[in-house]
Amino acid sequence: MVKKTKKELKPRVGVQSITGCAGCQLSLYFIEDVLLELLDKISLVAAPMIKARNEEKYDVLFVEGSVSSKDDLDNLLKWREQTRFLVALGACACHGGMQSMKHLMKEEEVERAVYDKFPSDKRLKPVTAVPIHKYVKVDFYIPGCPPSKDEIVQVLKWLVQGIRPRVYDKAVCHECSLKENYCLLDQGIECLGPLVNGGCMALCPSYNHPCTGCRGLLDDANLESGKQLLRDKGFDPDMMIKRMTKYNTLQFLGFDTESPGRSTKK
Amino acid sequence: MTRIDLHHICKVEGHGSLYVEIRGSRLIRCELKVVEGARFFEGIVKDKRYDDVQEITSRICGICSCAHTCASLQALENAMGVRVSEQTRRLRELLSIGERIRSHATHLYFLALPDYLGYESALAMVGKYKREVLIALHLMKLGNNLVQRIGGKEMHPFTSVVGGFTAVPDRQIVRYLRAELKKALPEAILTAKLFLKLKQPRFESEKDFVSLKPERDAPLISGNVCSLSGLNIKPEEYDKYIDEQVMPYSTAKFSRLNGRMFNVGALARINTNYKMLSRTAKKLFKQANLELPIMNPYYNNLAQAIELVHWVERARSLLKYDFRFEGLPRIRVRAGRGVSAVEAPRGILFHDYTLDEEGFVKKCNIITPTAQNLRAMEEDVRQLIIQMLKKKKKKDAIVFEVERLIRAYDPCFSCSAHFLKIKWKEKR
Repeated sequence: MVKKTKKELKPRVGVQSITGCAGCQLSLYFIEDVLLELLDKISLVAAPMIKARNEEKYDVLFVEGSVSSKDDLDNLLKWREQTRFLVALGACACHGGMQSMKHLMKEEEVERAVYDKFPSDKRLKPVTAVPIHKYVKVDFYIPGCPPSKDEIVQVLKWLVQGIRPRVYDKAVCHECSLKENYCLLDQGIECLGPLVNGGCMALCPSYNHPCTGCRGLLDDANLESGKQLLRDKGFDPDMMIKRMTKYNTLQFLGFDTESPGRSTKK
Repeated sequence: MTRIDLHHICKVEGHGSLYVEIRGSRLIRCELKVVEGARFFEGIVKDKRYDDVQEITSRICGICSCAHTCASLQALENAMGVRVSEQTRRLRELLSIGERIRSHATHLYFLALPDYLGYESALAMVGKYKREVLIALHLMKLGNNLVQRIGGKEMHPFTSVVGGFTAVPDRQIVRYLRAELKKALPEAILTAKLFLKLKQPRFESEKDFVSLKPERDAPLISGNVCSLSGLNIKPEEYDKYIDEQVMPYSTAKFSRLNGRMFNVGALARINTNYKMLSRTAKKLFKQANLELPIMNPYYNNLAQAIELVHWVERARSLLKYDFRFEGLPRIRVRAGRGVSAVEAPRGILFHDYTLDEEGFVKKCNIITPTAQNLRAMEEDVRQLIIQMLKKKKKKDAIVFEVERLIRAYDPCFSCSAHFLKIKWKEKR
């Protein structure tokens, strides 16, 4: 079996998921044009969504989803032991995602909205959703909801070649003005571009849709002046906060001291 | 006593597990558990303004984000009495079709086919079945292309908002998409032919089939809820007929229709709406020599393959239209309740919102297709195991067959899990 030994030399890549929508994982499989080529260069040893036989021990492991149950946490800790590089894939893994919005609301109220038809059971206490770097060391972050598939491939290529991935740290406005879009704020539409990390080529504003911050807050975002900016333009900053906190409630609340994007370690 | 504990069922979307207890040749327990963590979407959207809701509910599922988008927007529009243009409806249907093409292609080739051909995954098939894998990738790309050009992103589309679209595809894009669809039709037909050739296991179960039925159009984003047994109700009345139950062992709820088990999805659509299929799709279906209704759940795979042909053709005819940007929609907010039912790739999806005068969500209820299918799925698994035990089959064979049956249902566990956090004992 010559083939098999050859296979062993390839970097072992895995994709695992905890609570989330599985969209990030799908983005990875949707690289239709290069998927087969890529699989020549790496060996995909774990991907429970499309493989029946899944191995352990990885060189690079992508994890999507946020920690929302005890099971998730146990798995995550196990995976960290098994891999050399851990990459947080997508908004949930990087910032907590939609499910972390509960932090901003009264938790009981949220749960009552869901349980109101049912007798309450004490066993049903959920774990509040947090991004994975609350529990384990993360080597690299790919933000976005869902992350761009080109970016995933790029990061994978870099890691496989032993190159430290590059971090994009400019505001969405930067790329938006490069694309010569007409500023949405000037048109009277609430947009979070000035405060949010770019790298998406200002996708949403290019389609006349406001940026809602799926790639996380900028490291040096000035929230106070952001609010003032919106107030000056005649918006309601509190409404803005409601929009902003969709993907990154924790970051916004200041719980998050370690900011994704800056902690790439070799 | 034998226990089968499939802790993480592979090759399905999300996290599900199965617990089976067998004593001698008797089945003691069979529980299908959804172990996806609870995310409380219905609680999260509470007190959100109407224009933020779609973005949140779309994230319920990566595979059927377009279906959630359409259901959510239509329900909100119904609540506020907003009328949308013909063009908007067309674009929304195209979004759903794009998503359906890629969802079916992914399921058929990447999740279901390896079982039939005896491989562990589609990636392992590349050596011998390269052509099939390439067709799969092309079809996935086609679906992605449709969603991306119309919705802005391949997943979680954002151009569709309450009242209309923030951007529409220009003529060049429409021409490109039509050309791509034309190229893909032979591939869709090959897919259908491939699945016609595959042998399905013998297995039948008694249940009802439910799908949407509009007057003229193919069912997708509107219509009444109709069943094979003759039920015909408006989407708003769903809560009178569908009751959801909580099982102590699952984060997803189990549904019943009028107290009966029922099925939604591709097979249900073909069983109830066969007449609506395109001519090519009908012709292909006739080659199977099957009598309707089909009670064998394994045929859901074939139904999806036939549908693939239908939707590729339908998308091409929908694109025959002069799309023009209508300007950003302006909404007059008002209080009310709105319900919408759409056909997601896996079956009917209900969204139900109650808004206050300022357009903030006060109450929300979402019923996903997989939650509706769960009870029938669990019952089918139980029947299958009983049958196989009678034939004195070994444990490995039973596990393989059961997994295949569950996969044929194309469950989406991320979607269905939204309720309870559970704890269960696992003994080895």
